[in-house]
Amino acid sequence: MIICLCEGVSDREITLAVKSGANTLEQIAQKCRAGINCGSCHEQIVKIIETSKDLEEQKSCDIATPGVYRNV
Amino acid sequence: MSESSKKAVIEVLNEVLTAELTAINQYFIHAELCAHWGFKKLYKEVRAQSIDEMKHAEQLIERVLYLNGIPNVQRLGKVSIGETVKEQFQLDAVVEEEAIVRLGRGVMLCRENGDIGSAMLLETILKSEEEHLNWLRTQLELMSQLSEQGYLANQVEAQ
Repeated sequence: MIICLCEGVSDREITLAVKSGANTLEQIAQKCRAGINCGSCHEQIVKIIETSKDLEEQKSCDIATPGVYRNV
Repeated sequence: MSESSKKAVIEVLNEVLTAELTAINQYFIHAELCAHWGFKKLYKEVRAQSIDEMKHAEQLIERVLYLNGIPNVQRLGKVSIGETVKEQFQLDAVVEEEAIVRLGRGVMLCRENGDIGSAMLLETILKSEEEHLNWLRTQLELMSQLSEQGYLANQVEAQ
């Protein structure tokens, strides 16, 4: 899905930018140019950042759970 | 109808108008993408749906003017563009589901405020959006049963 119509940036590209460490609108803009123009996609970009953060937290909780990975 | 009732009705009509204007653009770009990818049958269908939304917008504008309000044609929602036909259908279905909820709320509000004409207009639009949602769900079901490629092969018009 194209999120930023001004720059033609898809949700996949924004997710990649988040995975590579960008977690603010400014950092996302620097990485993939999404949201640098009219700003109408900012709400959706923030949602993607939050969803990705939640997934990361979920992953780190799984890793921290004793017995899940330590005995592997 | 009291002034406050009229104001509330105009507000909801403008809210529906914003959604219609957004849908026109979303369906139009989806139709053009289908044409660009060679799915001519889908192009015709999706383009017609965009024009249906335009007709809804026209009726809403006329109704707002009848109520001595100002139709807000400047405000637009977020246009969500799918990168595949399947994604387009899914995004369009979200637009329709939200529209049906909004229109149902609008019908109730118009009736509560004693504006039966506006309620009837929103009911007509609601029925049309339900038909569109039904069409989208059918296409997604066909994709699931025929496979995405099988479905798309049937959308290429013979030259």
